[in-house]
Amino acid sequence: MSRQVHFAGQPVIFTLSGLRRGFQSCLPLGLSVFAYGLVFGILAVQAGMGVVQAGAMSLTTFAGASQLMVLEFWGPVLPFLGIVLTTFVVNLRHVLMGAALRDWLVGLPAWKAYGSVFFMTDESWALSIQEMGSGGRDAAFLLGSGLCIYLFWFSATLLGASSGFFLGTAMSNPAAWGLDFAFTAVFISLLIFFWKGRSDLPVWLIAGSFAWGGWMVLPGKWYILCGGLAGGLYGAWRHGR
Amino acid sequence: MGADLEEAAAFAARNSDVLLVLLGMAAVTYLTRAAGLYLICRVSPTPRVEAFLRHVPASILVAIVIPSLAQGSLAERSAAGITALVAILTRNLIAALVGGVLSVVVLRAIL
Repeated sequence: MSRQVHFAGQPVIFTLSGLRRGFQSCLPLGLSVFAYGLVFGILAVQAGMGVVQAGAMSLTTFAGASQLMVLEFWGPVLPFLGIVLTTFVVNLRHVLMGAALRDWLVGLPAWKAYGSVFFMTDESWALSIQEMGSGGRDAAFLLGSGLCIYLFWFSATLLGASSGFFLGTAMSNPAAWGLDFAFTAVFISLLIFFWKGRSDLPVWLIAGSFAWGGWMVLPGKWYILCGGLAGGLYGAWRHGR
Repeated sequence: MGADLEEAAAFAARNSDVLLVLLGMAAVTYLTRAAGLYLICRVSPTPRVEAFLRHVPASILVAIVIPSLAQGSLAERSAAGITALVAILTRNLIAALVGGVLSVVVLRAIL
C-alpha cells in the first residue's frame, strides 16, 4: 500500500506544515464544535453518565451525532446491542467519505493512513476534500484538521460534563449565537467552491432529491449516505453511457 | 459490611458494562472510518468507479445541507443564500462563514 502514488503529477507528501495548515483551516469551526461539545457534555451528565465516561467516549468514539443519539439509550440498564448498532448505522457515511479520500490515502504508509482516518469528521473531511480537489498534495492536512476538531470536541465535553449546570444556560444553546448555522455555512461555501460547471447540476439535483427523501423517511444520518450514493452512482452511470 | 460489598460489586459491574459499551462504540466507529480506505486499497478502480468517487464528495455535501434547508425557517434559507453569495463573490471560506453566521443572527431577530 505504500507504493508511490502520484497525485497531480507529484507524489503525495505528509509534512508537519501540512498538518499545521489543516489544523488552522479548521480553527474557525472550533467555536461551533466547542458549543456542541458543551451540549453533549451537559446532556451526557443529565443522562446519568460520569464526567470521565463522557470524556472517554469523546476521545474514543469521537463522532458527535452518534454520541448524542446514544444518550437516548443511556440508563440503569445499558442495551449493548442497541447502542453499538445505532452507532454503527449513524456512522456508516464514513465508509463513503474515506473512500473519496483515496488519492491522498493510498499514497501513504498504512499506519499514517489508518491513523489519519481515526480523526476524520464531517467537517475535517469536507475541508480536506476541498484541499485535495484544489491540487493540495500534503495528506497530513486531513490529520491536522481532524486533530483540531478532536481537541475542541474533547475539551468541551469535559467542560460541559463537569460544569454543565453552571455553564448550561450561557452556552448550551448554540442556536442563540448562530453557531448552529456555522456548519451549514461551511458546507454551502464548500459546495460553491466545488461547482465546476453546468454538468454538475443533474448530479447535485439527484443527490439532493435522494437526501431529502432519505431525510423524510429514514432515521438518523442515513440521508447523507442516500444522497452521496445516489449522486455518485448517477455520475458513474453517466460516465459509462 | 455486606451492604458495602454489594454496593462495590454493583459499582464494578456498572463500570464494566459502561466500559464494554464504550469499547463497542469506539470499535464500530473506527470500523466505518477505516472500511472505505481498506476497500479502496484493494480494488483497483475502473473508470466507472473513478467517476463514482469523483461525484461522491459534492453529493455528500449537498446531502448534508438538505435538512437544514428543508426544515429551516425563512431566516435560515435567506442566510444560506447570503452565505452562497459571499462564497461566490469572495471565494473565501472564512468570509462566507462569518457572513452566514452574522446574517442568521440578524435575520432570526428581525424575521
